[in-house]
Amino acid sequence: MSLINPTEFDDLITRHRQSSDILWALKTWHHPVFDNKEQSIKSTQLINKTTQISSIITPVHYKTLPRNSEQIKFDVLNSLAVKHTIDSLNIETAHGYDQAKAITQEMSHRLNIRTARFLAFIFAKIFNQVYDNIYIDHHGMDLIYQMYSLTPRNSSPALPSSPITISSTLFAILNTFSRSSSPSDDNLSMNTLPSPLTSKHYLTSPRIIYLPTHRSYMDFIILTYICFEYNIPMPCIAAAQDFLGLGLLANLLRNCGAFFIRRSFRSDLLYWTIFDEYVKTHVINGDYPIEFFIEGTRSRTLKTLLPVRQGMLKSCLECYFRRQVDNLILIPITINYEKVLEDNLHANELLGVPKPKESKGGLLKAAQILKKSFGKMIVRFSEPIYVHDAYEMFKLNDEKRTNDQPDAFNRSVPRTLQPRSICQQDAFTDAEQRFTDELSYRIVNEHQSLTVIYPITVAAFTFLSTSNNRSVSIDQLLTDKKTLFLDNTGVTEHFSSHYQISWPVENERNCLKQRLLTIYSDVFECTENNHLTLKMTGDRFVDAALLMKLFIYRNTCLHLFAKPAYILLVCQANSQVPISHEQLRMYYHFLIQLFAYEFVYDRFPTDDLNDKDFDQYLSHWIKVNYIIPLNNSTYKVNSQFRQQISLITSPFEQYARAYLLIYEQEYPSSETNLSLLIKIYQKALLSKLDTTNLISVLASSSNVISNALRTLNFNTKSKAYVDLRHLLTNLFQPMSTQLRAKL
Amino acid sequence: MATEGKGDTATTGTGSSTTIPLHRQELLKWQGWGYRDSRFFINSNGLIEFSGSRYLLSGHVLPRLKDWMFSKLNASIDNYSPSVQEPNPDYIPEPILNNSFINDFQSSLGSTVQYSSDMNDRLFHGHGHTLEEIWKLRHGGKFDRLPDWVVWPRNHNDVEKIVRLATKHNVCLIPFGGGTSVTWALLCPANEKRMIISVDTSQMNKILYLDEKNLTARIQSGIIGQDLERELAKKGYCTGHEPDSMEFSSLGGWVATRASGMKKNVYGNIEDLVVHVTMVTPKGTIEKSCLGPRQSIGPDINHVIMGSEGTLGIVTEVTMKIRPLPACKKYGSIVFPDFESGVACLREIARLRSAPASIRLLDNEQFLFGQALATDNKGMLHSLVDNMKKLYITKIKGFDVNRMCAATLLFEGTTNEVNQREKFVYDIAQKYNGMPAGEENGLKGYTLTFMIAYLRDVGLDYRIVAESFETSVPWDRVIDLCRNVKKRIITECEKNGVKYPPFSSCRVTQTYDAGACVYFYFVMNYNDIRAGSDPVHVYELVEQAAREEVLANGGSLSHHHGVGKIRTKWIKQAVSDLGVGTMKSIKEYLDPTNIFGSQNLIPDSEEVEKQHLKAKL
Repeated sequence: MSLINPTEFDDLITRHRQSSDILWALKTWHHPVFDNKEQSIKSTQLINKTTQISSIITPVHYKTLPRNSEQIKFDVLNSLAVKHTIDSLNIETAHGYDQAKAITQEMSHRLNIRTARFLAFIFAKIFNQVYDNIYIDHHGMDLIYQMYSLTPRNSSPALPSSPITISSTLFAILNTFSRSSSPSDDNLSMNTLPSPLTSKHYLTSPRIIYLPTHRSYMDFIILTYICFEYNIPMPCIAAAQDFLGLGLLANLLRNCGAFFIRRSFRSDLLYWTIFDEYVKTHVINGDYPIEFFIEGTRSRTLKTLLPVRQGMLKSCLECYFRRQVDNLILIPITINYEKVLEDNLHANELLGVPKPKESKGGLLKAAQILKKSFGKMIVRFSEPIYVHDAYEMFKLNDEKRTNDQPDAFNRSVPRTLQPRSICQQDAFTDAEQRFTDELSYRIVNEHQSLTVIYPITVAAFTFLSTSNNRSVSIDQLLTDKKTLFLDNTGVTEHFSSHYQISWPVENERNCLKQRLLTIYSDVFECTENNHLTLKMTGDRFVDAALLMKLFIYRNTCLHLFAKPAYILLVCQANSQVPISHEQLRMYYHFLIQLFAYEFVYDRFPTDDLNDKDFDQYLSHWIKVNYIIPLNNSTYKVNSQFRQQISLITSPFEQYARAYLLIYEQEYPSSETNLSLLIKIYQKALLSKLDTTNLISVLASSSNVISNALRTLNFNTKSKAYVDLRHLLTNLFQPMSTQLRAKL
Repeated sequence: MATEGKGDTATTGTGSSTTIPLHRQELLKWQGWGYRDSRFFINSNGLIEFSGSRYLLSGHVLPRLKDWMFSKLNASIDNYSPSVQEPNPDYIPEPILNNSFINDFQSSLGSTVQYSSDMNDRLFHGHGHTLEEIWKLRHGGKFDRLPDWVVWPRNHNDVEKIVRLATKHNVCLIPFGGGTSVTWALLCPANEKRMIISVDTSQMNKILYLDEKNLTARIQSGIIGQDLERELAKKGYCTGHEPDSMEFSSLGGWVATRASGMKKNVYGNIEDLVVHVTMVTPKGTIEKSCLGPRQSIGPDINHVIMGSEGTLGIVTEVTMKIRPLPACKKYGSIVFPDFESGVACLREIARLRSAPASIRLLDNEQFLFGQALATDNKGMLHSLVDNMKKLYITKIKGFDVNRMCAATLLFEGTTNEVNQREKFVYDIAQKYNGMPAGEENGLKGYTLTFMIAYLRDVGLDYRIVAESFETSVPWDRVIDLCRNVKKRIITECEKNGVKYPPFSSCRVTQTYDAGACVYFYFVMNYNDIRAGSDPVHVYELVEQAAREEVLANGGSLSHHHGVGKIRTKWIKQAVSDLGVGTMKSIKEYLDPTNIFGSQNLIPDSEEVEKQHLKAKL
């Protein structure tokens, strides 16, 4: 853990405030890989001739790269995969192609630099307005530069990377109109590294896939914005089709590289083929990097979501498994917002207020937001994951794990036998599927490990640590921050040593207070003696939404504590009697499994069967004296540290109790559809909503309900249901009876 | 370099027509490739010259080669690392002798069959030509195990007697043909505790008879390629089987490894050429009883013999198709703007089944390397013409020197056929932006084939290691495979701390209806390698990674080199457990006591697997 060190970051806002936005938007920008390509007039003719002969071997010739969106569409429509699907679907060919055409039309992006410049200008204005700082991790940026074989920038963070002058601007304008003319004052001259990998023609651009976290609509824009800023190729972004409702804005997004895919289309083979081919053509030809959100949807809870939607990732990986590319580079990116643009919406949505339809009107309303301040945004890049290396490593480990003979009568068709140009939905072999699972878990975990902790997280922790804590002194915040992030680094750093704290000037009370009050003016107000008070209205739902907001900000750091805190939690719940080592471990594993959907751990919950972590956590708690080991290996919490312990365990206790509350609901056995089931539960819980009881608020969150129900694995429900309830009640026996009485 | 062989010949070593002497080291290098008198060296002018008089290049200076080596590979004249002159006698292990066998042999065969336990003979018969083997030889020849004896049978009967004796006295036999194996097939298993006898077939080198009505010939298996073609040519025939190693490799070796010849488009690969084959196994002699051209009598026994790599027995005689010598032979070449166009063109030619006798596509790296192999300037005019050509191609046609590549062609047949085919091929090439580049370049390309192996030796002198490997792959994967494997070689080198960029190159050497054969070259300068690394080990890691990449890309384990011992770890993956089991049970039936104990092809036992697993972990 460390404090945010501004020298490790570039601050875009400071940079932009020093120079002109319009000149910046019109600066020189060109593709580092393709713009340096020499193309004489004669050779262009050569290309045209080559592309006319539709060769089976090379559907896309390197000389036509990068393609514009029309060419990409053309390539997709004329791919063998689409042809094969249309043939196999038995639809009339002409009709099939019409359908396919309509689908690509709807899906396709129209990435072009002109719109990007326009949006860069608009958003430069907006960002300068709403954000104090946008920090970009420049180590991560340097790594990307290396991949593109560009000279790493050694600019000091305060200076713009390239001086924006009138002449360079004029050049840029000229460039916009004639892309092929190669600029002479190329400030991104190719590095002359000795490796043929960088100089040799057959090795084209690196296949980069950006995987940002998804917390806000802003995520769509920010990476493109950064790419423009740093002169690296702008990505194509996978977006859900709901955004098409935005009309003109959707078109703007399209022109910035967004392509739109339906939410669920597994049964529609033609759509699926086109989607698959569309993604693959980008990866295979490498003319544009791809960006998508591995969590599949915006995380309303600000918690990292389990990557359950693997369609995009699988399409990309398949290019590697088929060896159409020799490697893929995955770059997980964590975008840490101090205040999320739409935190109100998130809180309301969790409480069952439906997500407003994506519309222009909504966006205008959102424009009001732009008058407020949203603090900092910190963008951090994980170390790139090279898929080839990761897969080799996986195969090695896999060999160790499974030593059984394969069933000679139940073979999975190896990649080398599968046809390459046909799109098959279930082509993944067992090992590949397991690798995909592991990889996607690893990616979201990478996301988590780069979390930045803002003051609001600590404030939320404090406010929510006990029910009815409506007013808190600044000193209390500082004490709690110390407990959470300074005293127990032994366990939190076991999860990751990369998380950082962004704190206004160390221990400066006024600063901290001021910051919380200005950025979260809708949540806090200041009362005497340096106390922060929640702005409670008395309206049940409004207050619940406010509390929910605190819940979601607290969520941003829970993964750091989850596993170690389970141990404390179990000891604490049994504070009357000492608990045996055996039982402690049993409950520890039980909680890990219970919250397998709620929190993303540092490794697969099922992989965590050895007790190395457990022992380490336990010895840490003993070391800091929170837990006292008694004789015959039983354990007890140290009542001296009751306050600290309950601060740390409070979130998990609340989640556990919320689960219990949910499991205690009447269970409508007839319903089998998860989303409907959630609605039924939520309705029941909301009707009993009590804002003085935090657990009641938490249990009304659709996300918590859904996770609780998924834990039941809701097909084999009845038995698991009884078991879970039993264990949970056991754990919280004394209090849960009180609770029931209360309700 | 492609094959390894075994065979037998008629009477004693009088054969005036045979190239290879009884004691090979008298004519051939003991620690490198080819003839003793032919090698590249840096002459007094500081330029690389090829010595001897056997080849087109012999006696010529290659003025650009040294610059290429020094600039592309960062070699330097100071990093000279010559081979030892004589094998180190201390390194040669004491022979394990089976006295009862020796007594029996001397009493029954000793008068007619020559044998030797001389150190130099033993050393020569204990290796092939992979980099690891040559490396060991150049450092004195420290092998874990060498053959204890070498015998030279003269005919089928001698072989039968030897095998019978070996079976009786439990002696291990390893057949030896041309010694050109590149799969460790000739290495003696280190754990072999029995006496090992290398059965050198070089004296079984007679063409027994020609059957001009059926156009076949009965040939003893020890005959080497160049002798066979020369003898047949005297009578107006040829077999048309020309693997790159044909100067040294033997007919028996071709059969045992499923060899492939350059001109297979006209004449076929070895499996197409063989009509009948006789093999002596520990259980007796196995052969078919009919010369019918095609037979449906269960799985083909010839195919059990072909590719058995010396694990089942010794091939003694082969009936092989022969063809009248072609009336016309014409070379040609085409330049393409890039490798992709070249592959597309080859695919189209294969699709139309109009391939010339041989067509090979070199990638850009090899194309440029070929330029470096040009011989001494032949005068002003010549270089002027060359420059004009170059200007035309690069400036007017718009070819990029760093992308363009070339195909070399060889046409054979009647004059009419050749002319027609030539026009047809060039017309197709034109559609793919290919331009004919002259006969001379084609001829040069094919002579280069025989030089490659000699080049490795001069490379080794200057601390540069090199190796080639091959695969076959379906058409749709050719380009991806070539690119990925070439790239993997480079990245692996970087990963393993090789300081200078390696030369990583490929060429498409054969076209089939459903795919192509691809040959890779990998050259690495091991100067200033990361401290503590062993160059041969690094090289092995890179080669292994490259092979894994080939397999992952859908390439085969081998197109014609075979499996030997270098690739057994992948054979299960390649032919499935049941496939290996099938091979094993054939082996167990024909050779229950493992007389042919070279341990090629089939991973010997659980032991080997465990070792492999350990190595992997």
